[in-house]
Amino acid sequence: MANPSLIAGERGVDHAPPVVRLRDRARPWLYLAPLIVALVVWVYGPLVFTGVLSFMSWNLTAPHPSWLGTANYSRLVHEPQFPHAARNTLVYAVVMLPFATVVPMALAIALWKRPGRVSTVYRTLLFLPVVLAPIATAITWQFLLDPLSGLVNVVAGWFGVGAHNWLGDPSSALYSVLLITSVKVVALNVLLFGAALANLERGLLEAAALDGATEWEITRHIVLPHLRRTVVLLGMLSLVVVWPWIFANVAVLTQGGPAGSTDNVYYRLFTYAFTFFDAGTASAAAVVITGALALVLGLGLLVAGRRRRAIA
Amino acid sequence: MTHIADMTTSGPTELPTPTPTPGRPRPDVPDASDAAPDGITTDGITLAGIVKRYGAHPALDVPRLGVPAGSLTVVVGPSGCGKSTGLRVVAGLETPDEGRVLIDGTDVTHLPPGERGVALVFQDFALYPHMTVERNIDFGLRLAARHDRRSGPSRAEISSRVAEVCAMLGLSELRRRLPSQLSGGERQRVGLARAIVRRPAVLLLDEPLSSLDAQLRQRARAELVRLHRELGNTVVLVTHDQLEALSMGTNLVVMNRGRVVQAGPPEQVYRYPADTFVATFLGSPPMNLHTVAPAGDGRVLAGPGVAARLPGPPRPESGPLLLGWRPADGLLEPVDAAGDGPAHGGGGPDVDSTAVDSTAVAVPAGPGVVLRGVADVVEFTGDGTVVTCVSPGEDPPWAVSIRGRDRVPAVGDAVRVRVQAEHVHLFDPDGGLRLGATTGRPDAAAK
Repeated sequence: MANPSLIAGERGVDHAPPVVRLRDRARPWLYLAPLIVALVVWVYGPLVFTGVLSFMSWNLTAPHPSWLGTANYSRLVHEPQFPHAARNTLVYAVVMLPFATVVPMALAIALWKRPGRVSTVYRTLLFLPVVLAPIATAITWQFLLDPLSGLVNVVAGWFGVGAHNWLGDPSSALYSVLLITSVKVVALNVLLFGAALANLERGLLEAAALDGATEWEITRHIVLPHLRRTVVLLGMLSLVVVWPWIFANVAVLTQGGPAGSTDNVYYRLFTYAFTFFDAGTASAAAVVITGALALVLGLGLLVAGRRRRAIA
Repeated sequence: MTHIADMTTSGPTELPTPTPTPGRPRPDVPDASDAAPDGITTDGITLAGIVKRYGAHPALDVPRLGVPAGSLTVVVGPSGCGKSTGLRVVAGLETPDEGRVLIDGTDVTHLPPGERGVALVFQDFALYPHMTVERNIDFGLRLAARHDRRSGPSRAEISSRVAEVCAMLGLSELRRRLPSQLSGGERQRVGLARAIVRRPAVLLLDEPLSSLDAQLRQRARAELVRLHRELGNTVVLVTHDQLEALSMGTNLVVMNRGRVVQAGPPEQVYRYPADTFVATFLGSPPMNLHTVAPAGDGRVLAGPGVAARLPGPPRPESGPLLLGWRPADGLLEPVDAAGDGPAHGGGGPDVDSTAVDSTAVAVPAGPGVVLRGVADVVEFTGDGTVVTCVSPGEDPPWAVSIRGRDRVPAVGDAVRVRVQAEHVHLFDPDGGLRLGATTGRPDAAAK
């Protein structure tokens, strides 16, 4: 007789009652169900709802939305605030990019080259801004940048620089908000560049030293190429994650002003939705922002991918 | 004259040079000028008084070691013995806490790695992952050209030298590939090409074969030996594999616990191990060691399951000794079931009946060793068979290799093994140093 356990096993699979078979097949989906439900309720549902709303007129105080067509989009294009906010957003992104890449990379390399207790202390201090609550830091900056009693102007006074209303002057407000936000971006990315450097094989540096490379040449030909992917990744990642931080600073410090100089599409969206209660226009803005961001990231990934292939 | 009387072993820290040095290293650090009369040639690599500590323990403590110019020196030892540290000290990747490194007579102790005329092939090859094979190989040359536009290599010279090493190592087809697109053997050849394209005076190889699979390793070993013959420069290879150590080098350095235990030509180190560590580290299966005590007139040594009659003058020792023999030097003899004697006609003439004690084997009448035991483990190795035997008493088991198709005992069979006197090694049980044939002092000091 053949192996009885094998036969029993076969029977178990082939002749199981349909209910049992269904249960076995449903099992993985049951495990996934909580996540799928959460995603549908909190992400995909609102996404679709926003897309639909962008073609409707709905004052949030009114009971029902009504169909409007593409009027929300043409309003975004034709009224001056949104294109202005979009241009400002571009400035935010372009100025923020070096603070997401070059600056933290240089700091991370400097810390990595001199390992020790001092380096560890610096690393910790540098990371601290990331964990502080955005609103709390924004309010702290408000005190620091106060034109009359703020510490920034006091220190500037020591160097003979006259008191300046950093956040009240349209020429400096945008850059003030940017610098304040960049502290957090730099802090986070120093940590991430540090992690990438920890992955750099020591043997490569030693091989380069044996090949006669100077310290700068090792950095230039071994360390920087090693960090290239991290630069691309963090550059693009920062373009996604930085907006809540910028938003918090704008909302607390300038409310988009003065004269719209710190305005950006995210703050504009917030204004449409919760100042004017115009859910339709806000939704249209959200669709435009999401689409533009997807386009930028898609292009970025495409270029990065092509360069990688070109090198190979 | 027998081998035991004829031993000319190197001392533990002696240099592998034609003129033997006094056995004990001098405590002071010699400089190059007074090194020469001692037999250290100014060519090749000289380590003088090198100490490298990690924490309190010295990872490397080499009073003096010379690597002859043009040799293929294999440094072997168990992991953590300091062999890689030594290599890195020569390369300039580690700075010694004390002592000096000389390469071809020049003190390079404080020169950066790139200026020593030294190249290193890393264990994991350490190829630059973002550079093609060609860029990996010419990286050093291009840097040299940039550093020194006048006397550095020209562009034409760089490309001809790269083409030359690529042809030599069979890399010409792979020049545009990235390291990630290469097999392990190809990566190793790129690592070698990158090292030799700069024509280093000294080529260092850190376990170059350990990342390769077994079949490739055999071929790579032959390729390395051939490459050394073609280049003719000084090559130092570090390995933990005793087979590589014995087969590849013209010069062998055995290390243990940060110290050089023995240095010399591989055959010499194998035949006259300086101590029990070298004796058991080199060779597979390792050398058998038995604790024996002198008996009778001092020419007879006996222990549980072992009896030896030595040629030459009586041993001066009264205490126990360690007697060693290699498994391949043992000859299996037939045993009769009843007693101690050999089976009919099996070498009977040279046995006398003066047994030393009850567990002992009859002492052979002529020079040589006789062992008795019971076959415990029988391992077929392809070329032959290794039989691990146990003797009565507390002695550790011992092994005997049986060549080819010779008859193999079954597990549980009584075994009788004879070893010729010239294949017997004697060691001091305290410290394990090799003993001279006639004196009670360690062999090295006797010279």
